[in-house]
Amino acid sequence: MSVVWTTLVLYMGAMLGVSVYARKYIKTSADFLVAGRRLGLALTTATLAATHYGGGFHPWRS
Amino acid sequence: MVVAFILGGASWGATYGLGGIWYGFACGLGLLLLGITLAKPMRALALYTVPDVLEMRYKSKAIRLLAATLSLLALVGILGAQVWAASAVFEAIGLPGTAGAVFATLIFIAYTAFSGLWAVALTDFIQIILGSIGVLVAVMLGLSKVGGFEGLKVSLSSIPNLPQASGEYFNFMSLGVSLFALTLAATVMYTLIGQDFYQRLFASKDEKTARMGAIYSGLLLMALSFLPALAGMLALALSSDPQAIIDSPKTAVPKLVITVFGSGVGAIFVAAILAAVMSTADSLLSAATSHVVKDFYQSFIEPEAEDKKLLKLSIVTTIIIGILALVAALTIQGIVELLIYSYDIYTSGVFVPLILGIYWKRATKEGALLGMIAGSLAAVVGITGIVSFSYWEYIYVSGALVSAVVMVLVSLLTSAEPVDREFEKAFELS
Repeated sequence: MSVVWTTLVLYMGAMLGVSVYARKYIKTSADFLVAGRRLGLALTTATLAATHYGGGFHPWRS
Repeated sequence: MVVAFILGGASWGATYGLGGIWYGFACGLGLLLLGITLAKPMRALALYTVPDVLEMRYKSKAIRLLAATLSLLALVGILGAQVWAASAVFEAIGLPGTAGAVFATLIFIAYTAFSGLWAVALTDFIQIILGSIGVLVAVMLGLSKVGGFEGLKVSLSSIPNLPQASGEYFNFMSLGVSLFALTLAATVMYTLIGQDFYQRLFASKDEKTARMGAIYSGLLLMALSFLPALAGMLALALSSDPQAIIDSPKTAVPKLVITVFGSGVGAIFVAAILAAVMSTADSLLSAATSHVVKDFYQSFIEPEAEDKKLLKLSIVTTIIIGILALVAALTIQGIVELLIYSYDIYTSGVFVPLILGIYWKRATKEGALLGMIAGSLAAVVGITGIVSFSYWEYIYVSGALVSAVVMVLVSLLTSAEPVDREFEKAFELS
């Protein structure tokens, strides 16, 4: 089990690290809400795909 | 999106076999169509939210308020469902679900509150790569373990109580024509009006990037759509307890991962699946925040608010909504289920007023408002079961039809105001 937790903690730590790095871009509310309208093609593509990507489910639907 | 790409597609794979690819395909098709049609002109408006666009077109605060309320409720509900999904992932690998879900949720709230959409976009980029490689490798190793497609066929045929005949697992149309068509329609409809998608288009650096980003992400999801379906089938075939997956197909992917790799290497792939869940959860959270800050606070409470205040409010709102969704998901399940219905109401009510507003000059604000209300009520009628539908997705289509009829009639009976020049210009260019 400790392997699972170590991996998860590393992964979660990396996500927090990315956020700390991104903090330098956040100066206005537009930076926060729409990334200062500065996302390039790779990030736009990834974040659009990711919006559909995850795992929610509805109890009455498959 | 309610049943999203990876876990949703796998759940369909365990139920419908290769027919399950249409779930992920629909997600991709929605984005592709968004890219071809609305992405570019919408980005040209350089607004923040879909209700923002509606107000610009119809010059009506009431329309903006109604649309923002429905969308916000839906986003919070679906966010609660992501908390359940995270919990299911932890439980599937034999860890305490609630503790795991709290842990994962606090992390994505923290990184979203700290750096907003920048953090969301950057983590999405990592998460989607991690999630795709994880599932791809799991499927490849799973296929080699089961003995390729022939082995998969043989294994499936030996499982009792399958939801459909084992031969049907290799039939792409096993889900039937009506469910196929309705799934495509419902998913495409939501993708064309969902705030979670438009916020990202508004965040792209220019119109061309918005258009190409939507097209590429659509093609990417369409190309990958066979992966979750195969993962669902393999999970069934390789499991020592297939009945558990038949009863709860959403656990298919995490179970496959642990069966194929054992709990050591499997941990890396469980992180990959959590990455997929969190990449959607952070999108919902940031979209909900945009409604509160732009459609409620700045639009109704303090239009002249200083930017520093709006930034602070965005951060605080992100934390509050995240915690609310977490608490609701863990304690009052019924509330989250109710909130998720607002997703059906939003899609049924807002689709026609937005699309007709763009393509029909004669659309009036009275028509749009009554059309939105009529479509929403039609959805409520379907949801409460006053009229019962054989498939849930009928609700969107019938809601949209009712809303279209009402909107066209009322618009023709009322007089249209001139459309904002900037709005007109943006959509002429497309």
